[in-house]
Amino acid sequence: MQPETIQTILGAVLTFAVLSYLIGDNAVYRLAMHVLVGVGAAYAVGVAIGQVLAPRMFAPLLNRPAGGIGPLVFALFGLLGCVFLLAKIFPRTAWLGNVAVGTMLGVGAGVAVGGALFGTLLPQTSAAAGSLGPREAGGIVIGLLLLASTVTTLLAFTYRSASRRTPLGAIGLIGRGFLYVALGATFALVFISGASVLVAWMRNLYSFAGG
Amino acid sequence: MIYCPNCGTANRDGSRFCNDCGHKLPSKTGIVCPMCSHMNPPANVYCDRCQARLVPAGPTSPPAAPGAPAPPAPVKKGLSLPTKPAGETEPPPGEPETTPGSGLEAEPEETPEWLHRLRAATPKPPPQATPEFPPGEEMPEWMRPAQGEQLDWFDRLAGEPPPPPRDPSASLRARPAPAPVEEEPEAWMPDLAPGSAMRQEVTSSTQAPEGEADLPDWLKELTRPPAAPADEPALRSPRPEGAGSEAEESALSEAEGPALSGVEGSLDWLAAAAQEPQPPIEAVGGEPPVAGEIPDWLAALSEQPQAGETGLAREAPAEEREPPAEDWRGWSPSTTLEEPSLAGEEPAGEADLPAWLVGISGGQASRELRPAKSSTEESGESEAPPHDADVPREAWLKDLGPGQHAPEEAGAPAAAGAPPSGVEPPGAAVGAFAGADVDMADLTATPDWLAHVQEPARGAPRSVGADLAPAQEPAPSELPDWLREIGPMPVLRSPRPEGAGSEAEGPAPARSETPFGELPSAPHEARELLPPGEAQLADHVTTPAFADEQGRSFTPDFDQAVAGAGLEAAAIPSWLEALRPVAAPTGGEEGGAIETEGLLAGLHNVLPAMPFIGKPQGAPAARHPQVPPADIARAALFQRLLSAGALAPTAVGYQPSAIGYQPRLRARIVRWVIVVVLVLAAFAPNLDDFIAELGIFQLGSVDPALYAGAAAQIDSLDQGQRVLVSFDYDASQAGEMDPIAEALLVHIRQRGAQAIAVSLNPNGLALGARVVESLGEKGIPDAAFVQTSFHPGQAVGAQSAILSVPADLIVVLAGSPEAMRWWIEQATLSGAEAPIVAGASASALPQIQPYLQSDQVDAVVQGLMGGLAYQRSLDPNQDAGKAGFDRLVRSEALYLSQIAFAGIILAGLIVSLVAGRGGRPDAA
Repeated sequence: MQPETIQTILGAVLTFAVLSYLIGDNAVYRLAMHVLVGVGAAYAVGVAIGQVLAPRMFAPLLNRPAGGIGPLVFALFGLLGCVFLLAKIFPRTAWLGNVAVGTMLGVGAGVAVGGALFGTLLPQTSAAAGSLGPREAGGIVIGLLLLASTVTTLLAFTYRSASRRTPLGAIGLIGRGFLYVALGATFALVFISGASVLVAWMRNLYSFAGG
Repeated sequence: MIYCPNCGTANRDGSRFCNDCGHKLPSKTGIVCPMCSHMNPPANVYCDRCQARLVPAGPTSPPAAPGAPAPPAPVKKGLSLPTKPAGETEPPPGEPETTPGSGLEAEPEETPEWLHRLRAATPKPPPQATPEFPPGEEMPEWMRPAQGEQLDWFDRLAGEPPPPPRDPSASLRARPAPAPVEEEPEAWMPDLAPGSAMRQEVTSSTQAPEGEADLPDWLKELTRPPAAPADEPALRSPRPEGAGSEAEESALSEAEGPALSGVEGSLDWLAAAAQEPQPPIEAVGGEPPVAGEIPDWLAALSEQPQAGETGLAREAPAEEREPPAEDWRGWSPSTTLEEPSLAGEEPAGEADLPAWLVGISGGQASRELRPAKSSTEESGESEAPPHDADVPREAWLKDLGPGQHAPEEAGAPAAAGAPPSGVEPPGAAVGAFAGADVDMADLTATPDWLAHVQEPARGAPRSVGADLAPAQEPAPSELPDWLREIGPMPVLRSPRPEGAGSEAEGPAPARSETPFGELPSAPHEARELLPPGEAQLADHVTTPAFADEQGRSFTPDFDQAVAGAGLEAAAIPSWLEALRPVAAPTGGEEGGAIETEGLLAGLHNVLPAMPFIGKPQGAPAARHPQVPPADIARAALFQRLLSAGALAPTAVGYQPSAIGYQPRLRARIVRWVIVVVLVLAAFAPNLDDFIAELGIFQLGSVDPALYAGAAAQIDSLDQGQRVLVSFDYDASQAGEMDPIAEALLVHIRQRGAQAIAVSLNPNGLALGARVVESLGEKGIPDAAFVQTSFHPGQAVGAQSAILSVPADLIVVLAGSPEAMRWWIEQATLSGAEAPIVAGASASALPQIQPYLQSDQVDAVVQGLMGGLAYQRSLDPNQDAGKAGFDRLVRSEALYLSQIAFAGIILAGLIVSLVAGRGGRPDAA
């Protein structure tokens, strides 16, 4: 039996196992979920070790790095961080893991905040402001529509009990409508994506079955 | 949410198995609160949010199925409300109904009622297997019994039923000897019971040395062999009438002989005193030797005297005195504590007396407590006994033997053997506690407190102590009650023995039949039956002055009750005082907890350190605030509403019968309809003929804007340029993203550029490899990647990849908007000049539009349709050939499925709007 055949058969079995959730929660569905989570986790661990740990930490420590001492220093820092994280296993030494976790969180937060600020907020704000310009005939209209939808949507997120009875609260209802449309469109797109996958897979199964 | 009964994990509605432990979840997922509509675990009794009652109180809950196993106790995580329903059942039979820390386990059936009432009134603490102690600490010794072991002393008290109405001596002796007490605070408790170790040691021959060690030093000094009975005939108290003949006394003494033999070492003087007649006590004035306070526990145990026979009334002439039947404590083998009338009954024999009492008196108690027998004996008692200078201080004890009477009224011939009115033979009183018979002849000194006890009618008082003041014979009315008790105390009418006084001595005082240890409920009634003199004395007893005379605190209720019941406030010797339990707080402290139930009623600080008796562990003291009637009425109404069950307000859209995820028929039908439509929509395109004949959707008609921009960007690449391709989608999105990826890779290969595969997702590289493999199968072998790398850390990985892999074009294949945003933001932040081409799924497409507007993304391939159209544009055969046909079928199927799904969503919306909120189907 060809590996592709086995792959297809397993895929089909797992597909129907997941689809069995339509009739209710059952053990077959749970089995498919367990397989999905387990295989995904195992593959992730393998990739992490092969793609990250091995070339970036083990190799410089075991072999003389060609790029000088820099990679070795980074490898040592990485090894130290791994040891600190492993120290979280024991309550007495758990405080050591806080150092590594704090470093990760700090670096990630810094990169994410910077990217959000300079990669999203500022550029899109300037773009939104520029859309009000008379460059295109429909630019101003679209820009105003975008501005109105943004402002009204923000006004919809007021949680005061009497907000609906105020003028701003009434305007917020318009923003709520925009929210409904946006969320509905997002849901529809997600749903269509899933349907596309289902159709494609059904096609493959049909082809495998000799259709 | 469905709460797992095994681990308490909250699971989504509709789940049948726990996500954490895999345990099967019950169908009844929770209880909707009728007040706030909050979903609660099935085992909750009260709502977690508003504390409204969920389970109706009373018999509204359906009974459990017979034979059905009890559901396991759910373990809630993060929930704090009790889970026991109102009508919780008792522990299964066989299991002791224990309360941790109380020590009150299942008691035998003979548990007294008061104990049941006490337990019923005590709130049960929450179930706790064992008291928890910090690690490393051990449960203290004094708490051990609370874990389940019976507290001996407590159970002894609890297990001992009230004495039945029979002879007092039998009732007293019937009490089983309690087990040795281990706990120090309660050591005195079991000793109170007759036949206890303390009392037994007085008579036990084997415990003589130990008893000697427990006696005070001054008492030990009195140890001497008993003197000859003939040496001190005067020490004997006048034998009351009908008290029995000498033969009886000897028989009693013989019976108690073995018991007394062992007390020689320590109580010889007592034994000797018991054998010798006791001289009359010289009243030397002074204060009572002891505080004179009637111990509460003794007063409670003592029998209520008959009306008219109060020991306080000592003014009655001898001939009018009732034959003393009992000692000052009301104990007598010849009388009973409960039966009102024992007239005519013979005094009980020696065998009926408690061992300790018999041992103390050596049979003398029975003799001494009987009515006076003859005047000859009494006259003999009037002689002053010789004093023993060697024992000046304790000689008075010997004077307190039988025959030592209070001063009699002048001219009143003492009844034969009858002790003076109101005065019990001292020897009897002391002998009752002193142990063996008292050698009255050795008693030479009369304490000060006893000095004034001497009866004036006896003539020359007996000098019982050289250090005592000259005798002064106070009037009988001035005598303290405790002293009057020393003589033959007509507290209770003894059965008139043969030859006892006739009816001329006075009518038999009424006796109130009271249970053991209880005072008469109507002392005033008893008081009415008292003779005038005794009534006056009874009035004196109820005054604080009398209490001061006795050196105790004045308790009006008690005093009046005592007076009305005809009881005498008795005094106990000092050596017994040391053994007496502390009724009042020591150290000058006043107050303290007063025991209100049981045998210890009235005592202070009886249970000082037993929190788990009065205060069960974990149970706070109950509070009884004053609740307004209006609030009570509202609470009752609220309770009725909740108990009504079906009448209780229900949450919007939920019915009590539809608790939990129980799909109704309509919801099931809708679900199956959706399943059928989806399957048909997904499978129908596989019917090639059907598709060919259908011809609804043509791939060529797809708007080129869906892929044109990306195609233009790739067309601008030169040969050898590097293209960074990021595979950031999951396997579940591969069906939609693979056509996009294939199209882009084919176009890149056609331009001669080098594709470098990177991924922020561990599975991305595998998906990229599969795309390359599929292209190879399609005859495009040069689409392989030049380099592959995995960059973890999401945004940090994207920045790392951008910085580490210089590229002329960045192609991002993102199945989620987050991955797309990471790449775009980091590229902008890093200042990368390479253009960005995005291949987005339908779900990520809306999030990318702003970036298109801001020119951060140069081009986008939109979804599956865009990918298929992009592929068709790159295929010279377009729709021809197998690949073309597959593209056509897939696009056609996708088009049809989109139509079907849109129709289903629209139908569901219409149904929900038409049918209303109640007809809302369950989530599909």
